[in-house]
Amino acid sequence: MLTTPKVTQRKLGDVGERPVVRSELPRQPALPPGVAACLGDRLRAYYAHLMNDPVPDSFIRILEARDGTRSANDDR
Amino acid sequence: MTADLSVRQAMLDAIPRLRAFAISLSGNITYADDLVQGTLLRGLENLDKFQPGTSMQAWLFTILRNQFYTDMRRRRREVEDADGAMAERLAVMPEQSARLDFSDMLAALAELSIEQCEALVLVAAEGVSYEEAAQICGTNLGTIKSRINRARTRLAELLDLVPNEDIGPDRLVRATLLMHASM
Repeated sequence: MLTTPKVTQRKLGDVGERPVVRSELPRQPALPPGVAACLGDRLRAYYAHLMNDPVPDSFIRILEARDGTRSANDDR
Repeated sequence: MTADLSVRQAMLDAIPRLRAFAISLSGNITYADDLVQGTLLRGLENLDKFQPGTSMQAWLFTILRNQFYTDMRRRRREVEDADGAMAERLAVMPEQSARLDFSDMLAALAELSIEQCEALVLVAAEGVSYEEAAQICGTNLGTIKSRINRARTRLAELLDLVPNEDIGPDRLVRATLLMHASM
């Protein structure tokens, strides 16, 4: 089962802030088109595989709990 | 109420993508799920900061990414070892990969720097625009393109899609030495 994340105990200062912009020089030769296309296909297939995993119930319960809290507040 | 439902639906829709992004960044499914859970909680707690009309998904990606970097910095301080964080990323790979058919890609992504990995995954796998990726990653367009270019090149090497350029000169030197030795 998922553990309670530590994130809830931290400050929320980074939400909505714009991170510092740093620059890097683009100096890298491009891949041959066939290799780039193959790599793109594999990356998308990998990602699609991850996204096909069922969403853990705990995530849905978090959102449902919010709805419950709000409707309880609305009833007052 | 309609707005609430649409916000909730937008958050629900974003979960599979958040999870895939978190797994790709961390290489650790358990930690990735903790990250997503924390992201949802932080998103809910800070909904007043979300600007209606903007992308909920991009906003949640930014929260998740910020939390990931906060965790990484904390771990670096705790371990006091520059390679510790990467070692930890790699250490969880074998047991997690049993649950994935794409363990080779996951292992290759873990070899990239986190900055390159997140840029590549966002644009090439997730499908967000370069501009949006730059915004999520807090950098500029040129840097994002550079990181993606480097990440693609490195990933292609790691997945044996192209010959590893590092091997080239060594082979040449070895061949030259062999030629001289045989004379």
